Amino acid sequence: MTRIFDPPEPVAGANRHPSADLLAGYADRGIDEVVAWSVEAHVASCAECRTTVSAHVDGERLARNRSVLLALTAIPDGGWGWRLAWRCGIPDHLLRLVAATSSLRRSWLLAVVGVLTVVTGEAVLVHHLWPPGGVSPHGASAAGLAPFLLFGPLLVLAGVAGAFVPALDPSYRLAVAAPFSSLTLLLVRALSALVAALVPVVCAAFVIPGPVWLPAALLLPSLAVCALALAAVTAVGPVRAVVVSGVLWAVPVVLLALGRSPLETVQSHGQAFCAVVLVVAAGVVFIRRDRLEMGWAR
Amino acid sequence: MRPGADGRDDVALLRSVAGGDEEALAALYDRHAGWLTVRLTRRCARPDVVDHAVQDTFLAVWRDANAYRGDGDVAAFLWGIGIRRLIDAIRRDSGTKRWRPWRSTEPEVVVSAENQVLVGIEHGHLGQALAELSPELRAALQATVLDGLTCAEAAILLGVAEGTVKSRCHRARAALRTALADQPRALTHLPRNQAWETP
Repeated sequence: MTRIFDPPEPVAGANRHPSADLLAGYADRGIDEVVAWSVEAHVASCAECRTTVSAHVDGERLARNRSVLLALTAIPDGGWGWRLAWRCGIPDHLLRLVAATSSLRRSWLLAVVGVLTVVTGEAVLVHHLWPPGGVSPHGASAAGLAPFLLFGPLLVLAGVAGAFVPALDPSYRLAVAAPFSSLTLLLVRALSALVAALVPVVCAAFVIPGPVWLPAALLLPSLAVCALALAAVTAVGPVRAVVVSGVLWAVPVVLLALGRSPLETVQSHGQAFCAVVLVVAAGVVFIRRDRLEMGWAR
Repeated sequence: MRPGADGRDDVALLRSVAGGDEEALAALYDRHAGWLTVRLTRRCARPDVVDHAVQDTFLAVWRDANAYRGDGDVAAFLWGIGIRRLIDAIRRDSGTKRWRPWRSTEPEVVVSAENQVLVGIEHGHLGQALAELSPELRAALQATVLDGLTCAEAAILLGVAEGTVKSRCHRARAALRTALADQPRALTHLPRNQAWETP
């Protein structure tokens, strides 16, 4: 081992400083370990040398950490629910990033409730105002359900999209800079957003005049559309993925609604098809999860 | 930035941080994040884990600046938080979940006698003895003696079992004792080192 020793040299005290080369070597891990111990012991108690050492750190890296730090301080502690989740071992940085998901914000959820109120109101109006004895006994209220069937899963999809489309995500840079698996973050946020959007949609399905199985029937299509979007993100950009899966849901619903049988999208054949899409999409997400790790951050 | 924000000393900055002053936190960060990053990088080569530990350190200061009792060096206080945040970050990264108290109390770090001995250690017999240790033994010694970590914490930092840390420390101490007792070897002729200069 190449070592430089100088036994007669007096031990450096508080009034002596390591040379600039030595400090640079300490910062860049370029000097020997034992010398580094010595330099570190000095640096620990010398503000001047700390400043010199700090100058060797990549400024961009420090600036990035600084912005993450200030962003994290700006996000307030969530209340008891946040603490409960933290107690359960979910790391607080993850909780903060989940809490920062735009589709979990109060304004977003209010918008979801707003849209649902309109489509539910429409369905109720159609149910009550449609002249009795129309085309078919079931057709009247079924036709009124079309907007709800169209928008329900789309609202859930929009919520999930809020978890990974950079344009919708104010904390996107924060999430990218976060030093842990972006896949974990994406899935956790997507799942939280999914649940947050599904709850009002399913609640609306209970209120809306329609078949009793409607709330349950919406689960599978919603999941399938979201899974499809996630699977598509492994191949194309996030915005395109969301638009494609949204259109793939909207087109059959609109076509069937025009054919006066919108409920068919969520009946047996529709459900089976959604189940297949869900399984295939989940498989794609699992197999191509490496692409998702980086892919969604494009 | 408020004029003169950088002019305040560390203790004043910490007090402002305790009062919820974000600019003081930013100033504290600007002053201390650099060397903290360097010092943590010497313990953990992964920049993402180190970055996380640095963020966590200042976040901990932000949330609980009152933990600083007003005595001792602020840099040492930050280092005491930083090294444990690094271990937390490594632990989280390796997927081991543990129950932690809601506000973990950071042990007070004081400038130790070891630190005083260490300044200029490379010039002495102990320095040569240390240099002759294998890197694993030195790392175990650094974590337990210099950084004051428990064996369990050192095990997480070094990525080995707790028993391994104990046995490495034992071997390191034995090797140092032998080397220091072996005076003629320590006094072999060596070139002068001009690396330390007077201001």
